[in-house]
Amino acid sequence: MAWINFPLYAIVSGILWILGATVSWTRLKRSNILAIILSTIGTIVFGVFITKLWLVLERPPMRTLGETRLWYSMFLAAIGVVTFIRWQYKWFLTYSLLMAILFIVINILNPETYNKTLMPALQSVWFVPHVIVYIFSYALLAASSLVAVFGLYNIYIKKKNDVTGLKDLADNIVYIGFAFLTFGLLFGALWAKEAWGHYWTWDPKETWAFITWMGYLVYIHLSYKHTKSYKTAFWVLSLAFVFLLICWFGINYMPSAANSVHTYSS
Amino acid sequence: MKNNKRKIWESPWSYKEGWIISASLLIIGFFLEYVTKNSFRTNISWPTNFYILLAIVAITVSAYIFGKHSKFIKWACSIPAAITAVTVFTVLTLAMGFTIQDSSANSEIVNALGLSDITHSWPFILSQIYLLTTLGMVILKRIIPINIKNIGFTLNHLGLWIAVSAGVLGSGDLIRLTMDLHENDTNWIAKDESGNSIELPIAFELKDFSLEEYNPKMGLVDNISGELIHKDGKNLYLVDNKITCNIDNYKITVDTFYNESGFVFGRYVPVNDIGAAPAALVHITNTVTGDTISDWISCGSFRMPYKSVKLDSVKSLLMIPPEPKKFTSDVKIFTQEGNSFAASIEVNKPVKVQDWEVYQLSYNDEMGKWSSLSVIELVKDPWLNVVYTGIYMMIIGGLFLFWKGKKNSKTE
Repeated sequence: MAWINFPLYAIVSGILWILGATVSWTRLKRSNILAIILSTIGTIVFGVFITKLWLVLERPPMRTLGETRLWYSMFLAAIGVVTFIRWQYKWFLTYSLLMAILFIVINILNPETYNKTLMPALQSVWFVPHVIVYIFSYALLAASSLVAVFGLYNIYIKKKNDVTGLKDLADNIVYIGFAFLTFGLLFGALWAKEAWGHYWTWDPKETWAFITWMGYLVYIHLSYKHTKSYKTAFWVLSLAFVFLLICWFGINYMPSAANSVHTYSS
Repeated sequence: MKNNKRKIWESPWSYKEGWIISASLLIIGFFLEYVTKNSFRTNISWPTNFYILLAIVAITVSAYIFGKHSKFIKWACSIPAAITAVTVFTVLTLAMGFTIQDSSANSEIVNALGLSDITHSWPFILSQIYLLTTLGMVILKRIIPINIKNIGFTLNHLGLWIAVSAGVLGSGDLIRLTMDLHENDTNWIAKDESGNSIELPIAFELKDFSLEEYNPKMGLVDNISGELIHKDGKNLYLVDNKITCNIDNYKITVDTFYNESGFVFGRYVPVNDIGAAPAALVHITNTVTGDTISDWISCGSFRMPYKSVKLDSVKSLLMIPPEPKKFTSDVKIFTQEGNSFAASIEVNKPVKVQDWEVYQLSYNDEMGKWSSLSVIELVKDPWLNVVYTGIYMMIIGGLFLFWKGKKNSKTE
């Protein structure tokens, strides 16, 4: 049960995404529509792969880091397309598609031997909603941190002081992303009660999930009150994403997290 | 944020005061921790925790009503107070994220400051009080007078307040016990975390413990270190009849696979005994040299030795004991009132008996599917429904957040 046809799907999606992003920058007639169509087809192709994988494995492909990266790529691409449809930011579409490709490349470089085993603790109705909601929010929040970094670049390098448009975009994405992050956290708590007997045990993964949640909580309050303090807001947003990355896979390398119950890959 | 002309502690308070309060709480907390030498580790339980909760509510409400116009209360309802409170709590949680929460793993100074058991430390308790105070104040500010526009806000903030306060104060009433069940025996004595026996008003008779397994996996093992060369689980393959896989430079085909087998005259044959082990006849081709081997591998069982195949001087092919797919205890439960009923306890499917949630915890690993021992866990958490009320409020509040986004959430 190796990657079977993963590279094939990955390459088709990747090419469609690259074409989509490139077309968006050209002066072709209806370049925007064409970009949307190409990127959407790329995303659908990738979705088909995930669906096939799910069927072949007879379990949701959400157990290992590599499997969650698949969802992440698909969501990131989808978010890029939807945001592009709504706000027409070419750089945003390009960056989200490139990030999606980056994660696919990581998966191609680290081939997994998928197998059907799923430990009893993961066999629950909560498994799919918990993971999907989380990965979707991760993809949104990654997108928001892209906006933040681009905003900081505008402020510091290009010396632009008015980044209201970017700030509004970041806010819009963060609100949705944070709502999903909250769902992920709370679904996790409800599931933990079913599986491990208590809704919150400060397991390292829980601790870092909570830190991440609070990072975005600070951003939301800050940006609610100080609508014009862009620099601080963008810095907080970038830092919150660092917490998110630690929570997602950084803790695999941390001695303080060695005893986490959230270890499913080996 | 830019209010330089205002002197500190002059009205209106803002971030400076917030940071000073946060820093003071941390300093006082660590000082208390150092002085009391972690001796403050008693869990507050019923009814003390309930009185404390009432006191917190009473103090928050009366402080808000009578001191509404004081600079402290005005500030406590403000965003600067919220941000500093969340930040100081985040800092402590970060400390928890970076420190192993076990005193034996840390240096003396880390332990003395309570950093190896942060959730029970003074700084953490003070930080929670700070967070709940500012949260409580801003909730009161928004719900008096009641305005339907504030419903999303109220669900999120009040939900969090309820979940955190009930979760923290209720933790002293949480009871977690384990109980060993042997097939066809009835037991009503459980053990707590310290190993003390506790008699329960309910009893369990284990009728049958059953375990379903996945097929075993196979992989390469280092001949000298004896360690699996698994690359984070990526180089392991499920064994099944007629499958072929490539591991490193070996092409491996499974010719025959038995889930339960015995070793008879140099070969494995299917049997149905206790302790019968999985075994597979594999055909291995070295894709570099073209050499082939045909031999049996087996992971063994508590009654049978394992068998691997040596591929070269460095590596062998090994079968790894199967992973559990599902394990279930079929029990009969008796109550003190004389009632009895049958139930199935499974991972992720706890059974509720009176105030107890009963979980499938473990079994005798060595015996695997022949285990006649099943360990269950019993959990009693009288505050659970209160915490869940808070959690459900936040889930509904999250829908508002998602649906309304930023612009509409600005109701002020």
